[in-house]
Amino acid sequence: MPHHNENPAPSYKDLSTQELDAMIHDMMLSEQDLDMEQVDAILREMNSREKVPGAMSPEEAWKVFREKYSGKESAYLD
Amino acid sequence: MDESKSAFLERMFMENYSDMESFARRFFQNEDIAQDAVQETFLVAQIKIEQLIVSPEPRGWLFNALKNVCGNIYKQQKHLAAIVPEEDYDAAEPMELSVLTEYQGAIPAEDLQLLIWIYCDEDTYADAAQRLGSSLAACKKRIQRAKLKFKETLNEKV
Repeated sequence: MPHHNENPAPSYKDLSTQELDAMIHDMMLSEQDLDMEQVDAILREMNSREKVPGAMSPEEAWKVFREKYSGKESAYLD
Repeated sequence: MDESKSAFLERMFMENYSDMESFARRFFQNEDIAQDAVQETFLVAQIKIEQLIVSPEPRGWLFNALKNVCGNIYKQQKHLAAIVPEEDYDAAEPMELSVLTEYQGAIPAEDLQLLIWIYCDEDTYADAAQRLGSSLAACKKRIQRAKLKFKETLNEKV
């Protein structure tokens, strides 16, 4: 189940991009489930700072999924 | 998978792909690995579609599945970096067909064939994955394992 952090959300606007990256790094390697409120807040802040040119659209990525991944065995089921 | 489940998975993909890719990219600082991680996560979601459908928070389920996939990839990278010299890590150096076939029988035929596809036929990992009928990540792991096995065999014979 997603973990909900009881601490008030920090002001992500005040954090540098490197500090936000470090938060993501810690969250991803933590034993706890992700706090989705925190994830969404970080994503909103990151998206307000940068748009990545050339990033694949969901439609293009879905086509790749259907052609290259769908129905295959997964190495990451655990 | 029936049509309703497939449609549900597609909807989840469309709604969450960009954010998941963005989050994974910030973690890996690498767009290709991030895209592969998200695709692998949706492969897990496809296999565990029943769990995803009944989840009260499908977006949270997907992000936590992404977290697990990214954690596994991260551990694999660290492990490989520890045992394989950095210049070999990308498994990109050329190997000659004559060298590979000299050791025919020393490593399993399937592994030898895989190395020949990659190093002699210059197949991409995606091509090899297609030929094997496996995912890109599973194929990469197999290539790395085959290469390590080949190197061990080579070292024993030298």
